[in-house]
Amino acid sequence: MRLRKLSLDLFGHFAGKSYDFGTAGEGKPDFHIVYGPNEAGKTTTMEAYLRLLYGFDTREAYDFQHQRKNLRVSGVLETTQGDLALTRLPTRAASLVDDSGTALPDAAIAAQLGGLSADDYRSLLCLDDDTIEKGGEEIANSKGDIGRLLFSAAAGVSDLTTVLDGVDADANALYLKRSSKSEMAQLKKELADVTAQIKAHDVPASAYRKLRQTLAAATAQETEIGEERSALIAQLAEIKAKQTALPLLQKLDQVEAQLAPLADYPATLDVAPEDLVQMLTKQRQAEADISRLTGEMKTLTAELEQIVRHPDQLNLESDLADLDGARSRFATAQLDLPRRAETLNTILSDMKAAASELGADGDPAQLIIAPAILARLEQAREAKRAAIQDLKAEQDEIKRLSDRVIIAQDNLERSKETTPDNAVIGDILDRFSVDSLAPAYAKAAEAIASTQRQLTTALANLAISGQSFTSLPSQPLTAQEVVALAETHTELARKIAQTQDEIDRLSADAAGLEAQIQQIRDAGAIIDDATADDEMQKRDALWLTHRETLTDKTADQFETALRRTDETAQRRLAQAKDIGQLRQVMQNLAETQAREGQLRQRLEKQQAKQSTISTQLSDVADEMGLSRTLTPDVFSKWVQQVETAYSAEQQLRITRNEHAAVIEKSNRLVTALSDHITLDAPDFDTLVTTARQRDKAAREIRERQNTEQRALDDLNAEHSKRDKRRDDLTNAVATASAAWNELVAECLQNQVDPERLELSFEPLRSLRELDARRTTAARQVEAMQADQTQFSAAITTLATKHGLEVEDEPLVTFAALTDLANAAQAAETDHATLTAQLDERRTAITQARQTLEDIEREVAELGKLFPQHVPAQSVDDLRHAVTKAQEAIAARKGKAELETQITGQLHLPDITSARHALENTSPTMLDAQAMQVQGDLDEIETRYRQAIATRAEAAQDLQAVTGDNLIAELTERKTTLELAMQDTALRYVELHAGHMLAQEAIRRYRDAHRSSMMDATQQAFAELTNGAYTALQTQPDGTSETLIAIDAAGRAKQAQDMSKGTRFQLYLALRAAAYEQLASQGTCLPFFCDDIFETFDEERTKAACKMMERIGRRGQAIYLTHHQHVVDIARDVCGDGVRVHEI
Amino acid sequence: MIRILHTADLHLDSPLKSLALRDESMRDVVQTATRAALVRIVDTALSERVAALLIAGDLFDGAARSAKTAAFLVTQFDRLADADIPVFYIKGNHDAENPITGEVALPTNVHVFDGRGGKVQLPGTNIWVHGVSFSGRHAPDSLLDKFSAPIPDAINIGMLHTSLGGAAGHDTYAPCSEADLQNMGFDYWALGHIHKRKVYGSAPWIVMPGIPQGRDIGESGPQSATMLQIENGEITLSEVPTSAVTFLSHAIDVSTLTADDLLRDALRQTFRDLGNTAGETVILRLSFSGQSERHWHILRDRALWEETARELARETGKLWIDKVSFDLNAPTSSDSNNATDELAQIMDAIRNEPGFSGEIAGMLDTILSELPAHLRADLLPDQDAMHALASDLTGRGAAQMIALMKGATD
Repeated sequence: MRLRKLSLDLFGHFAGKSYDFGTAGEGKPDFHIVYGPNEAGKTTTMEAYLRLLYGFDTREAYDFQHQRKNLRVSGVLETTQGDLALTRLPTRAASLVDDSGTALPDAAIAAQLGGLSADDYRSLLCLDDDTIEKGGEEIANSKGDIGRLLFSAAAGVSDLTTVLDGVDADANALYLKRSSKSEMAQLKKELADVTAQIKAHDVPASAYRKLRQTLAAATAQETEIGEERSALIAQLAEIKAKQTALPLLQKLDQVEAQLAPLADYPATLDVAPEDLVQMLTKQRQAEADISRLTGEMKTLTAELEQIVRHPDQLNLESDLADLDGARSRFATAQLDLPRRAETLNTILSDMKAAASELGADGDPAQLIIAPAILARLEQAREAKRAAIQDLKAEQDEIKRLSDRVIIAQDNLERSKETTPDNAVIGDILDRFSVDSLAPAYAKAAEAIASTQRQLTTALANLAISGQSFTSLPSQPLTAQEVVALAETHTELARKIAQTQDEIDRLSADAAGLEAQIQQIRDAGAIIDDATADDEMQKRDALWLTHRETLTDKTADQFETALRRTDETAQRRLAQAKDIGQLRQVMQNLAETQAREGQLRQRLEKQQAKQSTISTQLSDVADEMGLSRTLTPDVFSKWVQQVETAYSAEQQLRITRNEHAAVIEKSNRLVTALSDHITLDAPDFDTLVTTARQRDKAAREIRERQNTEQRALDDLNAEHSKRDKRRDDLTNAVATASAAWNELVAECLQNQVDPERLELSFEPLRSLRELDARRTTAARQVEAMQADQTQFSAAITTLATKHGLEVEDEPLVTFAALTDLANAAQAAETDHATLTAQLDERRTAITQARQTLEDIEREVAELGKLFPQHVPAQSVDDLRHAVTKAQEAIAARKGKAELETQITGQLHLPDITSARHALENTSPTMLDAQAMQVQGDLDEIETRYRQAIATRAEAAQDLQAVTGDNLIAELTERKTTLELAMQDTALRYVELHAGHMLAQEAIRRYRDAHRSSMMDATQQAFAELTNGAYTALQTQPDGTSETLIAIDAAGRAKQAQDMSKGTRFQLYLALRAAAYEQLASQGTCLPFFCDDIFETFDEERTKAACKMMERIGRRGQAIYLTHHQHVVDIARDVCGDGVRVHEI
Repeated sequence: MIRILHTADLHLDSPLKSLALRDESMRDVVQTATRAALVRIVDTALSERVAALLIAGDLFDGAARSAKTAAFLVTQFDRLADADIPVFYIKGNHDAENPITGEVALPTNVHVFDGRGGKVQLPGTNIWVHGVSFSGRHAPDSLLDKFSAPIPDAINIGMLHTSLGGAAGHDTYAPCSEADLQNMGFDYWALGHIHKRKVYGSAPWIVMPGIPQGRDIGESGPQSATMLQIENGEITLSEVPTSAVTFLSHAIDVSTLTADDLLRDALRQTFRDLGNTAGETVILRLSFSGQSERHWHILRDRALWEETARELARETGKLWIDKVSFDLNAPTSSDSNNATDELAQIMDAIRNEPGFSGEIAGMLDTILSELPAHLRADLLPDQDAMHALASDLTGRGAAQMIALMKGATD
């Protein structure tokens, strides 16, 4: 592919810049130099080419003049399939179009680019200062892998090292020897961690078994020590027992000695000495009792013989008791009877008084009536009273009604006196619908007044320079026209002033220049151009003459002329500066004068135009009636005011037309109302207000009359209704009175006056109550008198029976009888008491004798218990013997207890063996033994506690083995980690093996392809250095290799030892070789270099140009430069093999 | 009806082997799956009120030797003891090897048959359980002669840990044939040892219940225990699901998936389908298969695809990727003759050079020495294996490099 045409339609600072690289001539190299000074846009051109191929950048750097959306680059590419005319647009989609504007896919170009990306193209086929410098440095520092350079260039792909490095990094991330960061190392660390955790927390089978064994051993140990400890405790207990038993044994010996004399005393005794003391006391008591009782019996017998008894009077007491109720009633009656009789009499007199109150003088009992009858009487009396009450109320009501009728009639009369006018005004108001007309009239009147005011104001505003206007002036021109004229006038005035200024300035300049000329002329004799020309012409003429004749004379003449011209020229050369200056100043003067003339013409034209406008405006002002001439500016403003006044008048007319109908109707209403309402100046608003007030007053009076008439009618009707009702009630009263009189006569046997009864029923009710009390009092009196009679009879009978004299007063007799009965009863009682006391004394004496006998018998019995030699006949003797016997018993018991204690302490069956055990021991010896054993025990106690702790710990350890899943989880993690390690290892091998393979494969590929590349580079380098270097070699350096150049003398030189320029040449040679390689693979693209020969000397620049030409033979080479000498050298070296394009 | 639950090969606390467990969220979901399986079995025994639980060997795993395992086992057996459910257990080769077996104090409801064999009547039934344990880790001869004759007019169940006929080249464990078992006159053979469930015969029943919880991709698919229903002297079977985690292999054909989006959609769809049909938690080994124009692209971006697959799987909440393998066939139309193709040919040639393969073997040896010894032993049982592995890895590495280089040129 080659570039035929490139157009920077809109790109960078270019618009429409294009290059035509023409067609590739047969046999001619396709080598182009684009020449332009700095900043001319060489780099821009190269970038434009890349945009054409690859499209615009999203953030375009070349949009500083034309906006990105407007950028556009086009060109024609020659391809094997024919020419492609393309345009690149900055659009996102379909940015590539052909010359017919049809969008093309990017693939249309991509197919020609051999798979190079924009970056590839730039780094492989576009060389500039920067890239060549970096490339050169890379070679020098051996940083760039030469092989890689060769390979990537040859392979036509971007370098694979990135891929290899990436894989290598990936592999190293997985595993790197001695690295602690690699995945494998991390996994190992994690694994170690988990394994340690398992080890720390797990109880494996073996440990579990050990735990169980430990527990068994600990248990056995505990048992063993426990037993030992028990033995020691027993031993200590034995010693302690002996220590306790030893003093007991001594005590036993003492008791035995004490017991020896009392050996034959009884072993047991039922009697205590206290019992015997009691027995002695009892004996003495019994003897004392017998003597006292015998004395008492004698006294009692004497008393008994003195008592006299009356058996016949023993019943009297009960007889008197039977009469006691009667006696009590008799005594009461004696006090109450007179008071009761008096009460009865009082009641009877009260009854008589009550009857007389009712006007009855017969038996009051006849006036006592049943409650039912009394109720009937009350009912009749109530009926009569109610009838009278109703009648009275009705009469009062009729009287009040009569009063109200009189008042109502008065009111009606009065209001009829003020009868109002007829309702004409109301009709008129309705007819004109005043409610809607009034606001419409107000609005219309206001609108007209407002516009009228505007017109008046506008006319007043027209007043100017003492002249005022009452009517509107005529208007020959519109305001706009006048304003336009005035503005033109003003503009012209401004221009005239400007022109005048410029003329003044130019006049001054001309004057200055003339002065300058004069000064130069005055300064010295200047040979002016005319003189010089003249001499030259003379010389030329003489020369012609001499040439024709060739004589000495003509030669001399010519010589003289020649000398003169030379002299003149010499002098003029000396004066050159002054002449040049003079020429310049004179030229300037001419220019200035010419411009001044031109300006004066322009000024005249402007002034003429201005006066025309002034005339036109003053004509108009006259026509409008202005008495004074105004400036155009003021005049135009005044004309605008006139226009305002016109429009105000127009507005007034329109408003009047709008409201004509309303005004007309209002006027008619005023006329109609004026007939009925007399006003001094009847305007619309006043008339309507007055009419409305009058209409309202008339309507109110009519309404009041109607109300009053209706009230009077209602009152009359009510009056006649009430009269009828009163007559009915009068009849009812008469009927009720008759019924009452009749009932009173019937119920009270005509003894009572009905009128007196009507006043009160109280006497009747009192009579009824008094009668009830009278009955009760009479009955009580009778009962008391009967009781008195009965009691007196009974007393008399009893007194006679017991031989007592009967007294008048029965109560005295009763008292005497009572005394008799009491005396008989007392004698009987005393007799019985004494007899009982005697019997009691007799029994007590018998008992005391019995007691004495018992004691004697018991003493004899107890005495038999004791040995013969012990006196025991009396109770006292016995007491002594018993005390001794008890001592013996207590001593024996003490002995037995001591023996029990001793044998118990020593755990021995009998005292004999105990004595045997305690033989040959002493307290001191036992203390010593005890201390020793205690020491042993303390020591074993510590061991015992330890054994228990150990056993408990072992048991706990065993129990701590729970079924939690900690270990299972850790094991699972461990397994996963191991899997991950395995996976990592295999992945590492996979990657690493792949990497090794690829590296080796690339190396072999390189070797396979390097010779052609190396040859090409070597040839290019030799050419570029004009044979200073003849060969290139590579030298292995670790994993990479270094490029070494061999100079003409056969010396090897490393890149870093070369000069900068030479290094650049080496790099350029590599690039050129790569281009060859690419081209030979069928990828042949334009090769751009941007001023890279700067560091080359002339010879090598020549060589470089030749190399570019050679590239041009293979493909297309485009060299961009701002150095003319490069262009010259290229032309020199390549002749027409190079085409130069200037920017 | 009487129910008896039959299981074997629990391999308690034997860890799952999958890289999916590197994912912490996965670890949170599934931990100690073999324990979960035992708990499920015990749960089922309790809820179904079985008359007995039969464990036909390999209760323990040879490698899991923590006393905690035993403690956990005891707690589970205690649950059965509380419900008066007896457990019948014969020791398999793993149990015989595992020192824990002898150290555990099993509850009284567990009847362990010894190496001399024996029989026990199931209380309150006419069912007899016979069993013989392994006495060492190997049992090269048949154990059938240690069984006593079946009890007449009763249901006789025989418990035996056996590799049956066995496979050539592998150790045989208590070998016997199906015919041998049939001739013994038992009604049900409760077998163990082979981890893949299989019913060998129905008259009598010869049942290998399979491992209740698969531990790696080799034990894939849902796992179960076998439930016997005995009614009127007849035995019928059903399966009781037990696995907490299911291992699955799945291949996705990428031949027609010509764009990244299509491939991603296909992955998403595949995961959705798998998620709907599979159990609660699935460890998936995914492989890309087929022949695609995008062969090199896919290979080049394999890390990306692997991560994509993991991410999409994680989104389902139940699928977890164990590994993604790329078993793709290279496109046949390779007429272009560019540098990478030439490189590929060179690499292929180098791969088979003895010098290079020796170097790779050395490197493999070096890095494998970083691994724990038992892993190495598993990975490289012999010298041939080393070379095979080296060759395989080199092949993969070469393909990967070519893909990357092609990617770099695209």
